[in-house]
Amino acid sequence: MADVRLENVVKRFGKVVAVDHVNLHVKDGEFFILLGPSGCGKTTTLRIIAGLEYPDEGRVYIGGKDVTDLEPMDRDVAMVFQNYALYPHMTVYENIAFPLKIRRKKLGLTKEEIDERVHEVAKMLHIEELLDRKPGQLSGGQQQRVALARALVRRPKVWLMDEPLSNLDALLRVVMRAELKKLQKQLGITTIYVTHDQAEAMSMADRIAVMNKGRIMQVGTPHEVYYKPAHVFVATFIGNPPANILECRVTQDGDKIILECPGHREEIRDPELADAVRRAGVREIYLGMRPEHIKILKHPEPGTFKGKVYVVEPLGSEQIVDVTIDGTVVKVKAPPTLSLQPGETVYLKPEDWKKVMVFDKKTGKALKGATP
Amino acid sequence: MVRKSTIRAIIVNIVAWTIGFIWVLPFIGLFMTSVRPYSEVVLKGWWSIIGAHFTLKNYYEALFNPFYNLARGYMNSFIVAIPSTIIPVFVAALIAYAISRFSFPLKSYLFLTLVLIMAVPQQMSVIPLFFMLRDMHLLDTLQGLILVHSSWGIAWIAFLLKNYFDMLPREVEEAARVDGASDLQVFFKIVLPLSLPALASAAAIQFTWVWSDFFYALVFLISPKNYVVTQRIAFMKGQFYVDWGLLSAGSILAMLVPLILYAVLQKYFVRGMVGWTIKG
Amino acid sequence: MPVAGPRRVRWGVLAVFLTPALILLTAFVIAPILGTVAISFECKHGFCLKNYVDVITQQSPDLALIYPPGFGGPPPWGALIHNIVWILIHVPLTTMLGLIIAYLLKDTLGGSFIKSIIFIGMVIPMVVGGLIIRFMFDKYVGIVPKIFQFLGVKSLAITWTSYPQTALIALILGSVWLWTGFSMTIYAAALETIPRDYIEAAKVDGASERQIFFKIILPLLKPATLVVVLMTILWDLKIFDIVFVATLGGPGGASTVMALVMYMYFARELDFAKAAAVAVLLALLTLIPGVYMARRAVKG
Repeated sequence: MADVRLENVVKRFGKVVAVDHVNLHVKDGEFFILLGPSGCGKTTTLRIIAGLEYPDEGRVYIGGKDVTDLEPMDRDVAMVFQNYALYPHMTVYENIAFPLKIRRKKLGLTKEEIDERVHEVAKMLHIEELLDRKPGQLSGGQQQRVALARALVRRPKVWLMDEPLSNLDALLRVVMRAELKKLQKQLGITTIYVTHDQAEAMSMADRIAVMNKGRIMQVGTPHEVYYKPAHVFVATFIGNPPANILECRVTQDGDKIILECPGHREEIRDPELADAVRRAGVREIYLGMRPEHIKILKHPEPGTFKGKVYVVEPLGSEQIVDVTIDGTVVKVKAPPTLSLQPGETVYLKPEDWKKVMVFDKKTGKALKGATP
Repeated sequence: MVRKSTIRAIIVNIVAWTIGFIWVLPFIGLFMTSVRPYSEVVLKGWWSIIGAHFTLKNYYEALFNPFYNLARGYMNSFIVAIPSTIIPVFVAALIAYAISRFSFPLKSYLFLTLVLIMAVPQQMSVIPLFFMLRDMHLLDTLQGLILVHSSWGIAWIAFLLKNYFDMLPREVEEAARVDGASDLQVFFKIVLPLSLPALASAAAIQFTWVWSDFFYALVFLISPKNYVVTQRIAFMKGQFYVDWGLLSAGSILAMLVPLILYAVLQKYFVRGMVGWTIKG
Repeated sequence: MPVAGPRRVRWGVLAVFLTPALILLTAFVIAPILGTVAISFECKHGFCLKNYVDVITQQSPDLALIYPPGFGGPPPWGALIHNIVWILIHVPLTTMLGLIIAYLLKDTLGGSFIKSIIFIGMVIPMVVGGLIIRFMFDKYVGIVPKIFQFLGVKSLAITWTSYPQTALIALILGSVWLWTGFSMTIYAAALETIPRDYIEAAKVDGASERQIFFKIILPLLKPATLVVVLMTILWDLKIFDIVFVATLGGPGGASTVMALVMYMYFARELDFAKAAAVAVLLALLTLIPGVYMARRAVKG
């Protein structure tokens, strides 16, 4: 078991900076997820930890040992690849046994011990009956299990996974999420998992690092990144649909702080919010509101945003309503009982100003998170 | 009412089979001549089969008459062709993998050199090689010829295999490296087994070329006891009198080995030719 | 996603992969090539161009590269001219035949069987190929003279390889027979890669069979054509075995080629410097298609 630390890691591909001064500390036994859109550098970061890429700057530590210049074979990590990367010319048994056989002498294992461990891990993943088959004869889900077994059989210090569920169909993916998480907790292996799917990250991770353009935007628990996003990017990346962002101006009128937003102007009464804005001393801010924290009213009330219904997407248990406010689209989760027509004028009201997030428009950094 | 496309299909089939017949005709002629007494072939023509006599005398003569001794030639050809296939395929696989996967100084020049070597004619090497082999006491030996063939096979095989390695998915190799395999283990346990089709193509074609080679053998093998099959066939033809019975039997014997190989490994021949010339 | 490029490895690892090939290539390929160049400039006193001047101006018909006295009549015209004539006849014939056959065999019953028969020419030793050519054109046993005899064309009812008028053309026609398997195979592979959608879309758009062939298929086959033409030129320049066994360049030098002239200087005249000069000239010619192919290969 081991922790993983990245210090100021930089990786460039030509002129592109794929990983930009990344600092991370993944704790022993943690299920840690690197989350971000494609091209954000999350896979490169994972490959640097695996030793498949070498950083241009910075150091990598596994279990306190500097492994920056070590070959993958000397790092004692295991990796599950997006397309599983099973050895097509070997049977399932040979695939799983490969990591043990290749370093049999180093590990001091006998043939019988290898056999025992292969069967043990195959049993754990319910693939015992597949051991004689070749990968080409397996379904996607079965291949996935073999890839997991191959990564587990060695009892590695660190388990790396590069979007391992993305090639499975939707139903199986949800099942495997739960199973993977259970397996990881049961074995207690430090796990670093890369995905672009925020729902996957939220449901599995102990902690999430949200990445964008090679940089870490925030590291935190699923709860933290959801309710207290450190950056406007995090707020717009996480959540389904993600948080709505309104561009607003603030003006001071004596003691009062006046908020001017599209379709809305009022004094900020929430003390916490007023305090955050005053302390930052900024003029332009982004207001972030989660779709489930907005109410739709048919009649005006003080402190509401006037808008027009644009589209209604019924989802069964709820509906997503797109409302335009002076050209800005705001998505709202509404109960299915509410009947709305496109073009209808509605009034949006924040459920609670404590649940509104505020970001500095210039830097994107959070001035205040939401109180759940 | 017959559809236009049906008529077209019939014409295409007739034309195609006629072309196929023209192409195979020389082989039929050769075969007919080889299994009949030459006097009968000269008098009646090999194409007349009425009252034909069949005999294997020509084959026996070609194989065992001490003047021709194709049996000995067969042995020499095998002794030369088998190592001249294994050595360059293995050596070229190593260098092709390095070119495909590793970065090192002067790599692009190395690759360029390999491609240019493929265009160089055999004539460009034989004079210095003749003296080199003489000084190494390898002139007029099968070992010397093996060295030459092996070395000259490397360039084209490396080119073919590099194209193939470029198409292999990298993840499988990366998985092996993370699983604890060294670069050499990755090469031997993962890359070579996955490349068996390409290795088979390279080996089939290289073997055929070495077996079929005439020029190097002509220059480097001097004593008749060392002659390979192609040399013996070439010298079977008398200066003035041509015994086609004997020659055709000899020709068939000489091409039998590549033909059997081709019959067995046909798809590897074709894939190799295509993979070698058309990139990707 | 960043695609993993070539990576650095330790020198020791690199050495294992490169050394065997580099040793063999340096000793038995590159050194002899450079040696041949050096020998070709060797004279009694130091280095000179005399060998090149001598081989180019050589006027013995069986060794000449260019033989002006023969121009206007039947060969000999000199080995270099014979190679060029060979290319001029062989390349278009074999390219077109290969394409036509590959296209026809696409929808022929047993097409793959016919293809394998035609490919045999690529597999057999060229020595045997040369013998078969001689056999087919032999007055007594060959079918070609017999056909002309049947047609009453007496002047062609002869052993073609024995007469200056017909020796070279017999060899060239024979090489078409041997080498068409190559162009056919390349074209057949290229035809398979053309998506069916293109042709079906054109059919729906109302294109005729002929239009589809000339406007869609032919342009898509351009890379294959380039490969076929370049490889055939290379093969024609290097041609040796066929000529050696079928005619030995005869009669009277009427079918010599560059590679054979080089061998004659080397083995018969024992004039290594001139043999090297001819080899270098031949190599320079092969470098023209060679460099073209190299540029394509390196560009990727």
